[in-house]
Amino acid sequence: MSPAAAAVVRSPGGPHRVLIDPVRLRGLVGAVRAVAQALRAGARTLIEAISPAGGSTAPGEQLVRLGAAFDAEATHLARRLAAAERADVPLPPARGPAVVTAEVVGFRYVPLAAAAATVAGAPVVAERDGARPGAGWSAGRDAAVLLVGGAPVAARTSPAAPTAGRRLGAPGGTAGRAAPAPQEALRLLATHGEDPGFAAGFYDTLGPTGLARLIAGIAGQPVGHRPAPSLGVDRRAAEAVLGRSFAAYSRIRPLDEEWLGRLNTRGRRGTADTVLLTPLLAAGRVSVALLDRLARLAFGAATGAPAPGPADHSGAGAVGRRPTALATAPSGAAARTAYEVALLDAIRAEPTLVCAVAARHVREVLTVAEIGALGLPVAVRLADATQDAWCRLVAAAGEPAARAADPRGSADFAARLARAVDAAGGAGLPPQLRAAFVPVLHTYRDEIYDAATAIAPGRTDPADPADGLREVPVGAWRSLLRECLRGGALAGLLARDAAAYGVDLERQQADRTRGWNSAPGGYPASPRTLSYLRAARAQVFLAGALVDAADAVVREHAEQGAAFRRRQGLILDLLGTVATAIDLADPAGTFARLGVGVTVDGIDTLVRTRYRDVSATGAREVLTALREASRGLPQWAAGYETSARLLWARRGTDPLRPVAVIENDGRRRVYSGDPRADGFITGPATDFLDAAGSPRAASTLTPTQRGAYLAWLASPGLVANNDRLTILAALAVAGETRVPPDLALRPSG
Amino acid sequence: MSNLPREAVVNALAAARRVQTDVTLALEGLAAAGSGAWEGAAAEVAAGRLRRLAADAAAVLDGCVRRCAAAASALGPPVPPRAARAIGSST
Repeated sequence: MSPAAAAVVRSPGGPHRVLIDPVRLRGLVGAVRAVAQALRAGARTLIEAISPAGGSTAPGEQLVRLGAAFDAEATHLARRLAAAERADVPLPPARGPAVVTAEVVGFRYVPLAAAAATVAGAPVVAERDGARPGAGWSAGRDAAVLLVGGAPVAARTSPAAPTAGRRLGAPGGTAGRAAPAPQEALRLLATHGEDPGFAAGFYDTLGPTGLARLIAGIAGQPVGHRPAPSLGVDRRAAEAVLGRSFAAYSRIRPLDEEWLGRLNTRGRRGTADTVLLTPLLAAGRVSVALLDRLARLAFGAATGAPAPGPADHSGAGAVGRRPTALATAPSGAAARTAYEVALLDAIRAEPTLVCAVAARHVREVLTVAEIGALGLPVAVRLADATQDAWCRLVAAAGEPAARAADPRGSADFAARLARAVDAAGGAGLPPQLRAAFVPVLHTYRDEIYDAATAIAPGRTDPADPADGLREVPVGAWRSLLRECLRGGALAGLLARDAAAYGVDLERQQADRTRGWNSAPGGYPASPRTLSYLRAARAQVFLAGALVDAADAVVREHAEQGAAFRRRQGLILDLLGTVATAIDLADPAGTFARLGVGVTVDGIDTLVRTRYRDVSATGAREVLTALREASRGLPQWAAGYETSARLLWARRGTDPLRPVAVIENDGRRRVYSGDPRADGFITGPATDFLDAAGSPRAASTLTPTQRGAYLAWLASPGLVANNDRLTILAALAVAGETRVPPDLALRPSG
Repeated sequence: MSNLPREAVVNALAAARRVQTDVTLALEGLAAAGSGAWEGAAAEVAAGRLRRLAADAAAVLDGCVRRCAAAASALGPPVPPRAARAIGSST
């Protein structure tokens, strides 16, 4: 069974059919297990936290029981899934690609041989070779014929077809059977529609116009000027079946402009009534190429620089690259909205496409959302449902899955998003959109904080798709973080990210420099000092964005009426809660204290049910204190760079002392501080020294050279020998930054 | 709980809120994953059971947070927050 396949199985106890989407059911099993896991972990936390306070441990015990019940449900569902997968026996795949297509004219099947000869202009979509259609193709064609009227062609024309017919579960043919033809056809489609050969036979035969009429017929819409034909099928089930098999078809045929141009009930050319596809898009995973084409038709081609396209075997993207004669058929606003939502949700499920579409339109989405917030008396804003769908799309484009599937597109989207939010200013963005920025910030946590704490800006590794993010100004990341925090949703998660980045950085550095202090005599500094400074800086970066967000909320709080004050008072309270947990000197402690925060829906519920117009005084005081504390370490990066270069320049009179460490892999390595001897300069590509042996300015280096330069600056040889780190710390103290020499410089790191 | 150190009660409240958030997020994931996974009478029965379990979990946590909050507020004004600590200050 294909991964996206749906199976119809009979439950063992009776004739009741259960329709199962294995992919989604697997997701459901995972979600149920995740709840069980959250409950068990929560129970442990509660019991540990409540016992010292003398409270009852009954809630914890109840959570344990509920977790077990959720686990039992997950097991039950997994059994169901396994049964469905065992019961589903698909047809053997067709031997080769389906071959020939005929056209349905006016719901009457014109046999293939006659089509070319008798129907003027009847298009033959594909005629790839002279091979006979496979059994699956013939069976699919027969199912299509059942729908549009007439006896199965197979019975008359194809010697292979009777077998296929029996295998498809219609012993004795369909003539005279009780089941009406459309129902029988849909039953066949439900059972075999995802078999590529069958789907090809079915949709090749039906053609785009036939498909348009079939969809309209199922929905009970009139076809042209004629009333709706009654097919006598259950609409929802029929659309689901059609959607899944159409998805299979879209993956084996390039449904190009020519095909889309005939997708209308009136039999016109060059008029794509794409809105008809609405119910199909939700039911199955349509090919990425078709989704991309539909997106360009619906939302326009790329804005700005062309976005990298998805993997494409059928010329996708052509619609955007050359002028198209395609017009989209007019449709009502509600139908249009439903179509756009279905299309955006389908794109959202495709990690290889979602980033390209999100990157293409992120600026418009922000602009339209901001205009919408103005409440103008003209209809310039998106429908709420469409805007929500865009928010979901933006969130999905930031997910790790999208980054894994499309590394370059994902990084491109993240960069454009940060720049667009920075340029837009962010006032008036809807909370759902602010929450949709969270995944990008979470996924690119390391890159963002690397950039924010870099000793020198600029790219360092041309081979890494995410390296381009280092060209985004740090201010743009701060804007994105600020606008995200301004919504209040999941603020805790973002603060945890900053803390976790610091914790990881320090741990990695400690792992790489084990045993550094075993030599007698000691060094001016620990080789871990720099990672401590960077970890603290990452938290300062987050704290700065947090207080900026709070300031913006305070401004709105003062400007808005009571209805808004309640929401903003609550957001301030949430940001204050996060601020309370931040200890700039202690990323690990910060991480342990922080929860992930509240979702947008959670905030809405809180605003509705729990909060009146609360005083924000307490939260403001906390945030003011955080602003005061996070002002620290001005120019620390430049200060460190200068000190390291001085250290190198004076090596003649003050030789650097080698630092011996045990690395991750357990091997002993000695850092002399010389970039060549230590392996940072391996050739001209990584050589960042000038003729006199001094490092050139970071801004003049190539990315590879800059990467080597920064790695050298952060290496134990240079950090441990840095006698000016003390001065740097002292300067920081003078600026009330309070970097404590005892903490930053103590030999144990 | 009112005779016990305030810190323990405040920690319990923070823990309860954190657990409530984590479980709420997991339940939201469940709601999102549930739609369209399967159809039929058995699916509805199973969905009903999951809904009841989710409501029970939410009620347990809601009650727990409320009781902790009541205990915390009974102990008087809060101590100054940790956020005011600067880098490296030892208090």
